[in-house]
Amino acid sequence: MMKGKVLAILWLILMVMPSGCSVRLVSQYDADTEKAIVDTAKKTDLFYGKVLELPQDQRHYASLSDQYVSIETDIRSLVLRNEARRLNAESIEQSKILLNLWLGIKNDHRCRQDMAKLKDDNDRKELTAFCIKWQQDDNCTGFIDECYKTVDACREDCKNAVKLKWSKTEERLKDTYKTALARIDRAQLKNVFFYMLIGEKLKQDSAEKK
Amino acid sequence: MDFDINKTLEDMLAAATKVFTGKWPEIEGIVKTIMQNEKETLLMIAEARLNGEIDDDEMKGRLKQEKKVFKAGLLAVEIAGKKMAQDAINAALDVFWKAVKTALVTVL
Repeated sequence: MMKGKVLAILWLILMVMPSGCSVRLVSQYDADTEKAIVDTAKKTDLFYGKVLELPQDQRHYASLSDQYVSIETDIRSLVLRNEARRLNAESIEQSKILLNLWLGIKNDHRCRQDMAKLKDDNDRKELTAFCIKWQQDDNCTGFIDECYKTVDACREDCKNAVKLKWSKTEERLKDTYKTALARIDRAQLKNVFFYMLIGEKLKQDSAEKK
Repeated sequence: MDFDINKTLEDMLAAATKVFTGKWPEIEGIVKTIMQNEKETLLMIAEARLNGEIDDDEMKGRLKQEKKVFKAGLLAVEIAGKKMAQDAINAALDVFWKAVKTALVTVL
């Protein structure tokens, strides 16, 4: 009799529950994140549309820095949004790649200023130092900074690397953002946004897709 | 109690296989799209260098960037793989759950 009651209760529980238990390996789909990816991608593409409309010699970093910072903020918010979700390692890494890419593009553009237009000597020195640091080679990471301060004390190859970077940086500072580079950057960023969007959409369950 | 564990395991495997077979073309499609995007961007970089629009250093920089972009693509494939495994496990568990329910109904 007792056994029958237990089975009846168990049966009731089983009937009420749609499924036993489900395993989750990836985070749940988040519509707000999908929207944030699409919105930031659109904003970035609009930025490039405007940049490419400008004649090459008028694509000055200073006049675009506000837009760079605004997009950087949106991307940082995407990183944060992804970091706040469980089982989301891949999307976190994707958004960090995007941020890294954006900062690289932003810094590269910052380093393409016409030195002659910088009135203050300190501004020129500061910018050159920033650009050398930014353009340092992977195999010299950590050395360039030291070399810059105490050239005599560091390795010969890094000394040469610093000298080379100095000359190349000064050369590059005369340029502005080249059309070909802007087109490549636009395409690469579009692809990262697209991969992030694929990642988010894949998390949708069949029921959510309907 | 009408519960055949061997039959249930067979059905669970069949359910998981069905998910794998159904989802595989989707993953294949994602990989193909990534490779096509890679091809187009690499061609863009190569053409810009060959036309003299960018120098060696700039090409190196953009290739370095492309590595990161490719990694972001592979991460999407990783998500697809995990989601496929998740769906397969859940389909198999669902079969198990239904078999237990059916066995209980016959007992009662």
